[in-house]
Amino acid sequence: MENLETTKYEIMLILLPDLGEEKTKNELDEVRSVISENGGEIFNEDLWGVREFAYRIKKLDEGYYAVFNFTMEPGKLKKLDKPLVLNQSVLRYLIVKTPNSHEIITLEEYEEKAAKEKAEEDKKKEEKEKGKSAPRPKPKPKPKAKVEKVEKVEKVEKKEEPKKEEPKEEKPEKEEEPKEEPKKEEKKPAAKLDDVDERLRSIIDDPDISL
Amino acid sequence: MPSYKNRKCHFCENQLEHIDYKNVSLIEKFTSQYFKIVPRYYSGACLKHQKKLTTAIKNARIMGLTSFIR
Repeated sequence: MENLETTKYEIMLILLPDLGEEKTKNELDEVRSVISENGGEIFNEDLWGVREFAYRIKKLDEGYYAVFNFTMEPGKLKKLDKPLVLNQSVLRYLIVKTPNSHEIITLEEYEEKAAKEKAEEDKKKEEKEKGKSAPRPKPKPKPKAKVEKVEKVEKVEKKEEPKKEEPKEEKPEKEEEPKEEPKKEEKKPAAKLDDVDERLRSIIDDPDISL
Repeated sequence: MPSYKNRKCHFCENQLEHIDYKNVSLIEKFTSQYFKIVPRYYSGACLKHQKKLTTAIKNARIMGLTSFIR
């Protein structure tokens, strides 16, 4: 039953970077004493040392990082806030609740993992670049395309001829009264047919020319 | 990037229940070029893990591990 009353927490502190070894030790001891006074037990410590910030905090570029894992009753957690806020050498702090099954991983292990992943990604990239350079020169089957073009032109000839013969037969049957208009239309398709024939002949002579 | 139909949450697949704010290399995969949090339809995370991710990213920002803006 005692285990149920206490929960696991993690506190991260950022101290001023230029305190010196002795002062940082004293400050950390103060924090430890505050935790132990309120019935907490520290079971893991991880001192990162001086580390660069991602952005400026209070006109500083660096800070001393320290991480403690401790167990405490949840009601007494708020009593940690006052001494930490009043302490002027503590830049920032963060208290996080961690699950019971949480495995403690130090910063070094995270950095090792990140370095391994980076190395794997670099390897994959190199392999991809090698693979890309090899198969690219393959697509060179252009002469086939020319043969296909000639075939298409022949098909088009067959399609065009029956289409233009049909309108000639239909129009005179439907509209007999307006004789002038269909005559003009009849003349036009005939002229068009002649043009098409000339074009087709020229295409047959020189099949490379594209319409 | 997996296809939209068959894709699964990155954290459900690897069984990462608790997302640690100290794991900077993992967190930066789910932030954009300008260090903004990537929305769910790009990150592919389920709702439960996306919420945990956002808290982890915000904690890491407060502690100066990743930046707010580029």
